[in-house]
Amino acid sequence: MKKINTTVNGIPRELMVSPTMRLIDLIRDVLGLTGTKEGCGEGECGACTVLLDGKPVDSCLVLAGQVQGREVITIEGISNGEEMHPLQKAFIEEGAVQCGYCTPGMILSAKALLDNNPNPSEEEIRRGISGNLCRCTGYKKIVKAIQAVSSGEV
Amino acid sequence: MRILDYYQPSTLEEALVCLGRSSGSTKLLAGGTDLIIKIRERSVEAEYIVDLVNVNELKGIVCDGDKLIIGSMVTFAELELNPLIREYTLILAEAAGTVGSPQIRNTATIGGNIANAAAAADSLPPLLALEARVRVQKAGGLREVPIEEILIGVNKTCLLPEEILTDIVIPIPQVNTEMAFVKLGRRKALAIARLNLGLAMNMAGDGKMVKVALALGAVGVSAYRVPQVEELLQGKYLIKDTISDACNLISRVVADKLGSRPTAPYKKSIAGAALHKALEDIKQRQGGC
Repeated sequence: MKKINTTVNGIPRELMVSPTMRLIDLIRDVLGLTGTKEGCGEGECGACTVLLDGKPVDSCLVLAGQVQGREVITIEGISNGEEMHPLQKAFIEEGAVQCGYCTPGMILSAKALLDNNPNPSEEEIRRGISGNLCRCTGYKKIVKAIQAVSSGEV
Repeated sequence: MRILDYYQPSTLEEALVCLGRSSGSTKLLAGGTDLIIKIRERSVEAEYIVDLVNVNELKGIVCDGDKLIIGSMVTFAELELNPLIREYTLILAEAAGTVGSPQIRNTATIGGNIANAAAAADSLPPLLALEARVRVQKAGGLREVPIEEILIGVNKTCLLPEEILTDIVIPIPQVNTEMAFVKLGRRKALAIARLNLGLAMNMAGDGKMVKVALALGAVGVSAYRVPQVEELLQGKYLIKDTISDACNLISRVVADKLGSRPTAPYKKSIAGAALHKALEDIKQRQGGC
């Protein structure tokens, strides 16, 4: 066990955990933030995507020790109180959520993309979410939802 | 995981001390995208982990005279966008952009890619074609080794347990150097290369190929240079017959290399196709001469 200082969704945390615990286990089992999903456990599916210092990473491939002194954002951390993030609204409005399992990771990848590049082309959007698998939607509605946010429709 | 301790040194010197305590059972953690999976599936046993995330000496990309020096902890996302890399060694930026996914590229490092030494590692063919060397540090000694000497098998390098790969050194290519990178995978994102190819060639003003460096990955146990094809191309012009001779030759080299392996017929044909694409791309950029 080691003391790890990290900021999760804007809240500074001092945690006594094993530094070799995976970040996804820290998020889900220690912090109880179950919005982050585990899919493949080896970085192929992106369901466990979180933002680390603003950049999307697979939380199944990061150890707790690696987030020492850094900032983690999970899907729970992007709404403004009760008000959903525009990407969350757009995903619902465009029907970009079906089973929902990929959605938290997909939205965080999309957020990182738009934070960096507010007006991405369709190709840039597809590349931005290329590390997130969705087996329901065929991606079209996901791309449309992201476009709706970048064009200011949502 | 049965990990006894986890160190997070903030300097290279401290990292070497941590590593020196019990180097045989210690693993260096770079980005973690390979190591964390291997530890979980127990194909790698480690009692101690030395996490290099805070070692600033291993970060950054600088131009030092006629060389580019890339810190081993530089991520593929950084490599893909770095202006120096894009200006002088575009194939390395292109290869970096094909690694895994955005999430993987934000974490995985070039040093980790080399030290992990996967047969299909995307950085290796470009690094071989660019004649990169790596700097390796241990307590009391630094050595610089050509990249091909580091690679000795699938997931095997000649790095010693007490050594840390600190930098990748690339001689800045001469003007009039043309380059190409080709990766063939089953899909665009998250593809483990079925074959990857790096090519760098210095061309005379009249379009004659003066010096050619060609490397293949995912064909055999480690990435390697293909001197037979380099020799065939050197001194010639990029015309149709030369291109087709080179593609036939690389297919034969690959067929010999893979022998009776089930993938041999497929890899033989895609090696020819990949080289064809690389040479045609360069020819077109040269204005079709």
